[in-house]
Amino acid sequence: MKKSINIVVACGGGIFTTTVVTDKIDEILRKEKIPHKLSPHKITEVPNITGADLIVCTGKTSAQNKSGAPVMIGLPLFTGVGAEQFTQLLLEKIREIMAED
Amino acid sequence: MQFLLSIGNGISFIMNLFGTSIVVPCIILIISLCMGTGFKKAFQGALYMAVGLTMFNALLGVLLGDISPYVTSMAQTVGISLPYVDVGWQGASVIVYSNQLGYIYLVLGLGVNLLLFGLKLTDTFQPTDIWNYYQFVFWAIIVQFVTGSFWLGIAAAVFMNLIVLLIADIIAPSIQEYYGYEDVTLTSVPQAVAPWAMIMRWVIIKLKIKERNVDPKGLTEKFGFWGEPLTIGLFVGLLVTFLGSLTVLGKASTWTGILGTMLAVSGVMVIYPSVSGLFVKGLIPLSQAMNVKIRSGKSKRKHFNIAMDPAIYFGESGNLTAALILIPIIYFISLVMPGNKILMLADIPAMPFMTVGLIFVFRGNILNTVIGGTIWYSFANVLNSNVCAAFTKAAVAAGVTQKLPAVASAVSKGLGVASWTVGSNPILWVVYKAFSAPGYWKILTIAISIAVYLALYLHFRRHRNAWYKAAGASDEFLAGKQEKAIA
Repeated sequence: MKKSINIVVACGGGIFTTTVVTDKIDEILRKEKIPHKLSPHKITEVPNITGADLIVCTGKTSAQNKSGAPVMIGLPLFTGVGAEQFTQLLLEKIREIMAED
Repeated sequence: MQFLLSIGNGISFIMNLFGTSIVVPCIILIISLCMGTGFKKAFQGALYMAVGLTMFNALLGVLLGDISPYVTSMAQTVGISLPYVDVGWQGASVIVYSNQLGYIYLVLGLGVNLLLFGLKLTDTFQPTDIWNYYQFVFWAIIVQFVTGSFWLGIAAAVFMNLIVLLIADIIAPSIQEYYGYEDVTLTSVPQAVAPWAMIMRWVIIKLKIKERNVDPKGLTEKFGFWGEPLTIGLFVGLLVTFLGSLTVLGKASTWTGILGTMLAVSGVMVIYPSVSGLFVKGLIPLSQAMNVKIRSGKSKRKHFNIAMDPAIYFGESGNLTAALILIPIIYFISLVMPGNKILMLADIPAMPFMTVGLIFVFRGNILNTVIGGTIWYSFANVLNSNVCAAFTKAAVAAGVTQKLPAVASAVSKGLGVASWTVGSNPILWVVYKAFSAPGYWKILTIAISIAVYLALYLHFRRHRNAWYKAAGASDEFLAGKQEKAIA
């Protein structure tokens, strides 16, 4: 059982959409009282990131993480379309990851 | 309009008193509150913005202070004269919003956009992408500094905004189909290359040229090096310092200078995004509030697009691959291209933004994107070089030199700043030229540009589907979209 989850949020420049989505995830996880650490990155860095439990990209990508962290597409949190379903999926995934170790 | 001017004058008085890093965030705070973002979020955002502005000035000082002696000596030793250091779109946005025209247009543009959208003169709802206004206001500011007229600058900004919206309307279905995102479009920097891609595509189809493509697998890995700010900083830092010190390579002190500057340039490249991340936080609450508004009151309009930040189009694999191949090509061409005066630097990692406007028109064809990008952006560099002096004036007006002796001394030696991405816009360059023609010639050139715009606009409104298809959308997709709109 993990005590805290380490999430990387990535977009093109690691700036605009990343900031918006990071804030949204932070809000969600605070509400659910899940301890977490969020860090912003660029999509080009995704393959080489180490130590992340989960990676959320803000746009469509086929980037994979070499260390094996799952990649989710978090565009709904940016646009608001389908945000609720995505939040459910995200929480399920996070709980699954946290139960693992 | 008189009202706007008196506000403008009042603001510039306060501005001179407090400096841009305090006044600009205050203005953003007021606009955000008026648009109902809530005080806490707006205040926090404005505070981050102020911090970002302050840190940006510090970083620019480090960058220009360290690299400018080498830029000067590189021109003397090897004859490569690139006096305008590329400070990136991040730098361009800060300089634009720190200018009077820049922050006034945040208010004016918001009004213009809401009005045009409300009257159905455009299908694109742009206020969600308010942060990216700087891409065309940049050119309006160039008009202002070349002609000396604030009002011509404002007129140019409004006209350029119309052009940006027309392109956004035309390319929307193609983007939606290619990326599979509903109701989105693009109003930021990368859209400027889309008309060029449409022309190329038209030629390819007319001449029945057989299209080839390359397989993106493995290429991203091979070229990945070019996408990392750290390595780009080291590489460009080494190149410039080495070429700048060719005659004194025997001295040990030369090498300490080279290594120190390489590290300084890389450091700036690595920290740069975080600093502009702070700056952008000021405009996020506003953009998000507009997003909630438009999504909640989603109208039953037949044509309806929401402007989105290009970051959501960036990571698509075809796009990323094409961009990583293009970086070294365009960079090396820029070194030898006659007429280019820009030392490409901070905007090099932004290449995947610039290929977005090509890749969806070419339906993911990497080879076309690389060829189209090479031609267009090499050519654009020369036109961009033409406005760097005016852009440097805008940077001085934004107060960069007051605080930073390093920048002031670089400017006094004839060096300056540029933004590779924002300045790579031949369409708006032509509009800038039209608005800055000498004397009364202006009236003619402005009239011609407005006439051309109107002709294209009216043609698009009558033959929408033909334009959508020229931008890459398929018949099936357009038919499906129409059905959905009726249902």
